[in-house]
Amino acid sequence: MPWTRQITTIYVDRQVEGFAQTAQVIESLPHALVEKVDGPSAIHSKIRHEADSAGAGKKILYLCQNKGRFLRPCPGTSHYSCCGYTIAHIGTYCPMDCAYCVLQAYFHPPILSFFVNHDELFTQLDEFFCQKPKDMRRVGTGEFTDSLVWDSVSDLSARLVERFASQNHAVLELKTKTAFVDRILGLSHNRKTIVAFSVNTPKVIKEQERSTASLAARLAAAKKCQENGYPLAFHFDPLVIYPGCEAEYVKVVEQIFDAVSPKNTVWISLGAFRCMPDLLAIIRQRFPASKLPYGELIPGLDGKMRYFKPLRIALFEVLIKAIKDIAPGVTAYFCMEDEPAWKKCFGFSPSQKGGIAAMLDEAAQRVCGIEGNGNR
Amino acid sequence: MDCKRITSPIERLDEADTTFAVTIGQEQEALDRSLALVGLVHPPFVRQKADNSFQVVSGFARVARCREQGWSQISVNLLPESADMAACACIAVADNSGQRPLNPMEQARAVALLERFCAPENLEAFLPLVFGSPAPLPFAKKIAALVKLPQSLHLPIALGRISLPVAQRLCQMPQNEAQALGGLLAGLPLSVSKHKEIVDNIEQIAAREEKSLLAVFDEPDFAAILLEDNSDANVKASLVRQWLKIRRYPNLEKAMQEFDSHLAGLGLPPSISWQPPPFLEGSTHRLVLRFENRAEIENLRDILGQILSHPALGRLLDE
Repeated sequence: MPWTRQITTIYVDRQVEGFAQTAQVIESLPHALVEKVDGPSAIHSKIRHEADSAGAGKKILYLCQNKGRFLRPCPGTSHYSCCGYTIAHIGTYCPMDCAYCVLQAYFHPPILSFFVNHDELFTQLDEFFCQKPKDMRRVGTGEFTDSLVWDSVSDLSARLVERFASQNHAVLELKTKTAFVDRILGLSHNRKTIVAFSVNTPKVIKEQERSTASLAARLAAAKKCQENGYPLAFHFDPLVIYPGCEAEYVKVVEQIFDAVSPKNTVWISLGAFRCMPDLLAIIRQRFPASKLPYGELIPGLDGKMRYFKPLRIALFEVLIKAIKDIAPGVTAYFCMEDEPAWKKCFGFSPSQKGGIAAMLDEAAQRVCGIEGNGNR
Repeated sequence: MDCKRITSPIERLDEADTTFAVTIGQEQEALDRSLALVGLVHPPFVRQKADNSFQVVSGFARVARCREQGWSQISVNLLPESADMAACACIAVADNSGQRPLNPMEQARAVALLERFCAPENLEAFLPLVFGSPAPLPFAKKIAALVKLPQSLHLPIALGRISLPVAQRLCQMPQNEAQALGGLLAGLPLSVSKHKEIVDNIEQIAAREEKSLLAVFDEPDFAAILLEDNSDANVKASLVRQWLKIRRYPNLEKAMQEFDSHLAGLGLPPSISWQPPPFLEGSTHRLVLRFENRAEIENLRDILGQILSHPALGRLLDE
């Protein structure tokens, strides 16, 4: 079932009643009831009282303004190296339903929300592109939601792709677990948009990622994007440890590069499952068959639960070897690991290469042709 | 309510009818002393049944002690016929809670009693009788659920050998699993947090391996620890916790054991203690040095020099 069918009610904040995007979304969801509200309090109260508030928050859609900054630096996490990303905050939560999704515990309560004050977003983008010095920048919409899931109801991705195409020192990363790329195909993108796919083994996708596209469908979509000239990226995040996972993850690497070219792949990130401790109880309640909470998880330096380090490193080493063997030129990096883990698995620490941000800037420069000062 | 004080043959009190029983896990020595020295100060409350026997409403312990001490007659407060079951339930609870704070199992029995006989709309109003102050109904109902646990666990809960939070987790389990786990915990003199750790580990091992808790109990090594009669309770508690940790976190526990073994290889004196990063996650280790004077510092310096050239150091620092 497409996710749009599960939306029963669209709550329209009165402040966005007359917005063009509001009308566009409502038109795309003709089966949904439309209710006008003065702010999110009443919705919060309704969802908070649901037995499964994280599930209930996916069945409604709140259209509102982003009253803060659309563009903001990724907060990263303490004690672990992060990549200097800029988040474009277009909405919150996701209609797909992954057991490990941190958004279930991140928002209180989590409510599927889409910001429709796009004029403000594009004004902020214009300012962002004009900033001096002209540093290279990487911007993504997939931090608090899925980037492409909104394409069923909005033309935002298409507008962003075209806006990024008109400048040369920033790349937009659209990160998704869908295979819904049709609305960005055929656009003039100037290779300044990277279409990024979160990937996992078929077992993890089947068991932990409800309503997402299969691996085969994601890779077919990636191939289509490549044929359309888009640079690509892949995110192995979260890596889930289970018996036999190493061989299955290696197979995913092989399948990726059977489908697309390493030369067109900007980066591959690797991140082992990690979460706030509160999320484990949510997983147990919402995904009783999930084994995620029963891995060898220990409290990390940032307070998040992580796999015991030697276990993560053993899996990283296998995966990195596979990537180096098949696609030696592709930039691979860790999402939220410390320097000793980098040294052990990659043989160098990010600081030796100017930091992760510089490594990724260099990759974007090489594959996407962006210009400017690197983040060194 | 006007009761009639009468003296009754003790046999007329139906000892098998425990409908209104609340008391469990209370010390009887003081009661024995009081009965011996001054007799029965507070006669039990009873109501007359259709078969002419007396149903005890409160004072079960007093009746039992008097019976045991061979009394043939006992003074009782006979409730009037107008006292319905709801009124009797309130008297049973009030008489018990008026004498002492109720333990969790008594609270459970008291709420269950009120729930059984009082109109649902009145239940919340009677909860101060149980808890000493107003209490939310959902909280009270969670407490009352304890009565559904296997009988063998009621006394350990009343005596605090199984804490209320752990007992409530047992309530979520099938009866046979609750009985096995509760029985184990009742025999292990540990803190609440350590009991919770045991429950967590057993539940998580079972969930990870898609087996029942009982199947974990049946694993030969674990069963051997549980069946060991010679070890004292503290030793057994330690063995149980250790076995479960190794089963739940095999790699972490193995690495910690290896670390401890390398550390032992260094032969550090008591004046130096080495603390690895918690869960071996970070890379910062801590050395704590204890000394009282310059000579001891010089001695520590020499020992640190020896450590630097010791082959075990590289293994400890994961070099």
